Amino acid sequence: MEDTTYFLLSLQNWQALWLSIKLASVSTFLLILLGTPLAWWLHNSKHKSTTVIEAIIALPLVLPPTVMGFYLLLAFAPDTWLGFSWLNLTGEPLAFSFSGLVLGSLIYSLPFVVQPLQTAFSGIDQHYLESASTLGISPRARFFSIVMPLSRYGFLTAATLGFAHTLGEFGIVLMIGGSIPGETLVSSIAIFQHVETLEYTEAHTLSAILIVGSFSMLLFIYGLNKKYRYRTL
Amino acid sequence: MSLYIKFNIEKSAANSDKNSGNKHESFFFSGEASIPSQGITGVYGASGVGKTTLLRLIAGLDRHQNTIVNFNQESWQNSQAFLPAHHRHAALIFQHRSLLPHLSVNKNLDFSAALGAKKSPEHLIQQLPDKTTLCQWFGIAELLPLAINKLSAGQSQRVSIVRALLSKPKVLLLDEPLANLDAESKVTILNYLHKISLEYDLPMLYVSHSLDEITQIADHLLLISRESDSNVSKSIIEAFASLDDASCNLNSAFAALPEASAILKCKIKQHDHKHGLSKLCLGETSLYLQKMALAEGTEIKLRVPARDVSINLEHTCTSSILNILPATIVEIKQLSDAKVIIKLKIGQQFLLSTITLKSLLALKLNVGQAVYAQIKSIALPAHNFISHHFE
Amino acid sequence: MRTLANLKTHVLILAIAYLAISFSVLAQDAETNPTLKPATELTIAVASNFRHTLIALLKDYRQSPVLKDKVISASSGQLFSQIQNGAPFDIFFSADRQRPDRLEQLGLTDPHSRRTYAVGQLALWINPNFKHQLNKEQQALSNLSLLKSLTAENLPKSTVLALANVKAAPYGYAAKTLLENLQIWQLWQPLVVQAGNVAQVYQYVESGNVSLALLSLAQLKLAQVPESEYETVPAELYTAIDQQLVILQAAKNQIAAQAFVDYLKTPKAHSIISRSGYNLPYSDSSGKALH
Repeated sequence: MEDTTYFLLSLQNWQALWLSIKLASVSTFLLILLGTPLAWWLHNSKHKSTTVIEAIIALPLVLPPTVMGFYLLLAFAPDTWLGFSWLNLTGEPLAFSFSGLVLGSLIYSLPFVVQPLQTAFSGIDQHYLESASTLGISPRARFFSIVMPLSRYGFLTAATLGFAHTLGEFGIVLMIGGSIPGETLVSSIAIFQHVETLEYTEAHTLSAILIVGSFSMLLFIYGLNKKYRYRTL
Repeated sequence: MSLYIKFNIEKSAANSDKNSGNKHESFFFSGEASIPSQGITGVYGASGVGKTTLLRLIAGLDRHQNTIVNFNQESWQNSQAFLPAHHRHAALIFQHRSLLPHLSVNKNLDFSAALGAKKSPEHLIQQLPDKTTLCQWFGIAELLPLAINKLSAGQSQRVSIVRALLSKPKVLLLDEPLANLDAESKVTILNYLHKISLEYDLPMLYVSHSLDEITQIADHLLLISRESDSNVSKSIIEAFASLDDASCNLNSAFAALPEASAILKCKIKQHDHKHGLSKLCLGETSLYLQKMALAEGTEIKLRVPARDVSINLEHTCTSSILNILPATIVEIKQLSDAKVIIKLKIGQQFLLSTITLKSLLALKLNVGQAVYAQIKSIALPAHNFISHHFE
Repeated sequence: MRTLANLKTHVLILAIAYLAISFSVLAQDAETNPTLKPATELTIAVASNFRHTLIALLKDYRQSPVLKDKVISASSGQLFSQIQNGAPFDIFFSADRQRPDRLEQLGLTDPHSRRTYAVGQLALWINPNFKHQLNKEQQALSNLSLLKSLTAENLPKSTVLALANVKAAPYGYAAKTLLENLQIWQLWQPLVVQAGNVAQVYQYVESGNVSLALLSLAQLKLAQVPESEYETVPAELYTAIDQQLVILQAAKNQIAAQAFVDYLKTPKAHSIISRSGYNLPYSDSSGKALH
């Protein structure tokens, strides 16, 4: 390789790693932002349509990522309403862009955020909320002062799963990314390309860094979870 | 007339209240009642009869069709509108713990005071006692820094009541708040609830399946009774302006209950230390009870179950029964094939007695007849008394 | 429309695959004694781009619409790794010459079996929507002339050129050499999106997300893309895409494998290969003419 190596990896590989972390962080942030009201609505709604919506949200668990990637690619085209409105709004096409990857990750990782949140919400004793409402506490205040703190374990799990799942995302990125260094060439794709081109040393090093990094992160968060859980009991 | 409710609830077994524990296919609960703004209204009924359902309906936690709830001039629910719970300020105290486990006792109280009370501070005519006073009254001042999971059941309930009061509610709804508490805690809490109801314009609905608690604390009564056959349970509600109204009306559902009782208002005349008894005066006559810890001169309410009162034609000295009072038969009503209930007048007050039809015929009892009422037992353990002040 | 046609093709292939599996299961019961009739079915690993052509060849070779042979397709790189790790293939149809060469060096092939079976042709596809953004004169140009006419000044905003991965995929590498030979690599490099393989470049084309694409002619022919949308790039403009095959050391049936490889030299096989959009090899790896 003509690239110079800085601390084990070439500049392009460091860039890929940074891009993965950036993608996972941005996606997780947006997923929590979107997933929280969605999960709360699903938890509270007694309407039959919620079952259908729950099933739709869970679809990424079943569908092969490459299939989803292919349909996203079709949806991102400038002649579809999504691709068209995005292009009009931002002046940039959605396919082969970081924004496109974020959008893909949102869909792909949504069940990993919504489901732990729903579980956490249903674990909250209704009496806390009902009793608060009779004390004159508004639904908004109940959500922020009771539901959120009581389901913090669920939020931590949701964020961890959302982050980890986005970090390891491959199929969709392969389909909609276009391997543009610094824009869409994330570490999972970089590892794949190294294997494809028989650059095993680079593949091993990048994988090792990813494994050690992810393991430390999960270890830290699970440790934190345990501490939190024991404190509330 | 401060709180008016009218409802007609039909629930299928699938989503019936889990507290009710009934196995009926469907559950009907209907009625109409006005709850006075002064004093405590006891809500009495067997378990599963719909007491909790009623409170949830008033609080705005459940929304049933064909329901009207009015509070003074405000409409809380009618066919067009439904005021959500957090705008009603009908503070509900659950039987179960409902304090927020992630906050300390102090923060629980402040949370309610800050977020709940500030919404509509103008609705209360007079201010309820402040936090410090309430904490002292309910004996929770030293619990303030504690975590919720460190509290006993009794302490939790006391904190819950104070928390509800700090939210400055328009109505206080208590769902068997003392069910899990020891006798001593019960007396303390009953006393303070009674005191608050006397001194402040805060209507309270006090749900209990303990007639003793109701006797002690309630000024008015809502009786929920159930008629059920194989697969339909039908509950109806009946309102009484006072407990006396309930107990003195042989046509009410209350008289038909196995636990039908008369309430006697007496004054502790003197303690008989030699025999370990207290002498109470009931108009002209006297009653003897196991010695009580209350001061002489205290006025108390006694509940005398109808089934513990028997009738003699003449005063007998051969009985071991201590309390034999001269009485006049006022009314006789047949309850079933075998049983009758008799209303007796003692001075200005009334006693009830359930006897067999056979005895009634054997003794040839008639309205207007002078008899002697023999009281086998008086229902309350001595420490459960609340002191009252009768005019 | 094209997607629908593709879908139909896929469903058809799935149905055929299902039938083939059912038949092979049934057939196994019939052939209780393998010594009576030696198994001639082959297990063939093929680079994705050649899969459809290979199946057409096999059907012709077997003179049967139902195949008992197993065809495994993936990218050449993936198949290479699998072979290196002992995958039980008889023949490996790579999309390049490097990997068969490497396998030969590793001693995993039947010596002297390596030969070029087809030469990939590069085509330049231009999105009709993209063309509409250009001026009349440019629109009148052929695809390749149009590519050459584009400069930093007249390039429409958000132009995207799709290539297969320039390092991993032979078509990607060839496309890069084309742009270098035309001396426009500097201009286009920032506008390039890279697909994992040449099949994926076609997905980019199909979805309408790219303005231009350099991909295999075979892919475009298979998908029945209108000929007006693409132009075959003259072979002398880019590094040849020699697609080579090797018979593997691990082959269970070397004779059957050799027989099929020999069939590929027949005029019938040549016509299938060239109809699919490949050039014919003029010489094998050892330099001997195949004709």
